[in-house]
Amino acid sequence: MSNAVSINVTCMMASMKLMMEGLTELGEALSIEDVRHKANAEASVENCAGEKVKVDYVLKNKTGDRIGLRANPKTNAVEFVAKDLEKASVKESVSAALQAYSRIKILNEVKSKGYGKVKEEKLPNGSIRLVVEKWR
Amino acid sequence: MAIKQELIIEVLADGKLKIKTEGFKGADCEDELKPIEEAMGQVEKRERTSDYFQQSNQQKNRNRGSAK
Repeated sequence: MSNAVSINVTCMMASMKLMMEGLTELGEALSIEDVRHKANAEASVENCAGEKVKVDYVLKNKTGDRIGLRANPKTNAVEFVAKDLEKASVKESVSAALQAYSRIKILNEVKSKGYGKVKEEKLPNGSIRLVVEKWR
Repeated sequence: MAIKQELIIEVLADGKLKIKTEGFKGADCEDELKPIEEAMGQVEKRERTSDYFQQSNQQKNRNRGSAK
């Protein structure tokens, strides 16, 4: 008998921009150890105009920046609020939160489609590589 | 025979995603990815890799110097 030939077809590649919507997976994402942020519900953060804005979560990074997250009541899109969103340490924390959220959300999504995670690794460029599979 | 279907997902440092499919036949991979794409966000780029167009030629790659 010949060896079984495994079909190994790579047929599609999609790149997508994350849509952060609602707060469902956000709490879970922000509690991940790697993100090293503290999330507190029911708080306010100062925005660029110096106004206090009520937010759903507050991230506190090592630099001491306070970054708020809230779901826009009209669009449900998640917004970041900070005194200076262009500051490097703030940007870094925002990215970390987005990556953690994206990871949780895609894992939940593919799990619901019957996939199981078989591999997860952090790449030198800062990306997280996930391999999920199912048999049919 | 059971076929393994795989998604190779890259979560970029800024939260963007890249997803590659493996083990799907023809347009199946598009059907599989579509709901995932819709749930996750906005697709910036979608490309078909060369294998997409070689479905019927899979056999070609099969036998390669197996003699020992």
